[in-house]
Amino acid sequence: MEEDTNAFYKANRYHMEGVMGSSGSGRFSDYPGTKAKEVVGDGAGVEGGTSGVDKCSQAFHVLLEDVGNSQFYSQFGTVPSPGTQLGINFDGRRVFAVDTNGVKVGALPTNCNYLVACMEDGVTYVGVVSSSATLPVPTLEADFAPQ
Amino acid sequence: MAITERVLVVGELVVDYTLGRNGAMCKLRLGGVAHAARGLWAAGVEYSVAVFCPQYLVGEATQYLAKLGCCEFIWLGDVVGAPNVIVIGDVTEVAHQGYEDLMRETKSLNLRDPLPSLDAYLKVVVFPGRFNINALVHAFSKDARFSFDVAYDLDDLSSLEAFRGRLQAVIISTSSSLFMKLGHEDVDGLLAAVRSLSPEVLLLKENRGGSRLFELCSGNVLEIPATLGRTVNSVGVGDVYSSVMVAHSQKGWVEAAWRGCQAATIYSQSTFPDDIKRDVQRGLLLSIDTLQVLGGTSLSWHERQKHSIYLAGPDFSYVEKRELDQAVESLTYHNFRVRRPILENGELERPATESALRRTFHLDCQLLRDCDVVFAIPLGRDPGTLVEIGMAIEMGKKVVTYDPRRENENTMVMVGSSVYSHDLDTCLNGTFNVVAELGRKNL
Repeated sequence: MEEDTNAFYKANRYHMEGVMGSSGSGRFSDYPGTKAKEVVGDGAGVEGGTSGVDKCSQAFHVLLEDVGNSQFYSQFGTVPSPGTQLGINFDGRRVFAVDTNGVKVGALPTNCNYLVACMEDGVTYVGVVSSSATLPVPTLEADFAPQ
Repeated sequence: MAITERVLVVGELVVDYTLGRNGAMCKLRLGGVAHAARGLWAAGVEYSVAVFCPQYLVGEATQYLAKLGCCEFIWLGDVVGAPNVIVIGDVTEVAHQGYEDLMRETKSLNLRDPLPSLDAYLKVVVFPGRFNINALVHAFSKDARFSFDVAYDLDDLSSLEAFRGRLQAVIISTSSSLFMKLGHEDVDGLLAAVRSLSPEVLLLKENRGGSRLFELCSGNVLEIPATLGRTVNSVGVGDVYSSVMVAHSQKGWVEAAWRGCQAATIYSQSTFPDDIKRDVQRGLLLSIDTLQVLGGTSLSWHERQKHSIYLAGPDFSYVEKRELDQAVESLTYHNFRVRRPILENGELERPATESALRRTFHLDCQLLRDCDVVFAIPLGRDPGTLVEIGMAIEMGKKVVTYDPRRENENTMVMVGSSVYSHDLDTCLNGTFNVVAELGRKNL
């Protein structure tokens, strides 16, 4: 009898506290105009219309491509040193990292092509060389953040 | 009722429930044509829906879609005998998505009587379901033009005969059973079947390999590349492509297809509608010229079979290798030609004789030389896979290394591989990129 009472108590508690079905299945979880929040309980549900994350507003770290074929390397025979300020430019064909004089120092990988839409929407980025080397092959890593 | 240029989306409404596993979040969403609705709303297109759904869902769906800018909600009929709930196992579609349409065998649809009028709409996108589309023909305006996304619930194209001469687009996906029946081996059979219906265009959506637009009058074929990123949820992505493309058809099919593709790509990367709308609106700022310059990955379904992928991994019967099996299933699902040395050249007995060892070594080396790409899955203590990776790098072959247990985070493996990741989705994207690049080199 005591066991039955406990079982009833537990079941009732689950309903009262919303634990049963608490993994995001209680209602449509993506109404526009609502902020993301985790659904209470032991599930892994998230609901909301917006995640609160905008990729255009996020800082990122990147290993540049084609550094050895870049304008900068061709002109100076070296790569920008750590701490050098950089910007981002889309030349109509590819997205490049440029120095403060607009000289291309390397290309961003194609997974950064989303930046073109961000920049078209008015976002600008500034960056800094985090590490670089000329040998054995010219390499350059940089950190960028939206302004 | 006044004639409108709004798009009318016709199909079923279901409830999609994504299981919270493999890193995916649980998600309860209005599904079926609601995916198309989200895409149209995100693209800023005026639209209405004409739907079949269970009565219990009508109120909530009407309210939800109104929030997504739906101009008119037309309930065409009831769904009985089933809740119209789809349980989704794999949201990334690295392989079969594992849809479970609950109680599908007892499900039936009852058309409302009298049927609501649909004659105010001239541009109609239909997503066939378990309803008889021919029963709706007379409800539409005689001037209406139709596009059909025949990805699901259509066994053949004969049911579209009643729409011959009124078709704008026929849209199909390589994921559909109808494609497997008509176009799996060769696109010509599919083209012939579609051409008999006289649409303006056929769009063939080829998943991560992009899509092809066949302009049937001119014979032109346009490739629209895929922009491969991390897939968050692939459910409904094709519906977004179709509906947004049709909505933009007045701008010409080329621009329409690019816009549809843009919206679909963004839809695959989020399940938050406000994020999707923000990103689609941003994407629409870009000109078609810019989109074409930025490009992406084009690898048609049929092209994939032209390149052999050597599977390096402990593909032995006595090894616990669920990740390897999943990777093979994924590559096969996407129509890659996977060569499995252990299956092809035989599994050695243990202990093996020296002659058997030598014979297998030479056969495996020859197979490796014959293949174009290596997909490596080093699991456990498996030096053979690492040797094969090294040989392939030295031969100048591209190597995609899937290291699900992160046991090989090593300089030579990580940098020597064209793609190295513990994530199958990333490695699958990498395989598409690497094989597409081979195709370009061979041109």
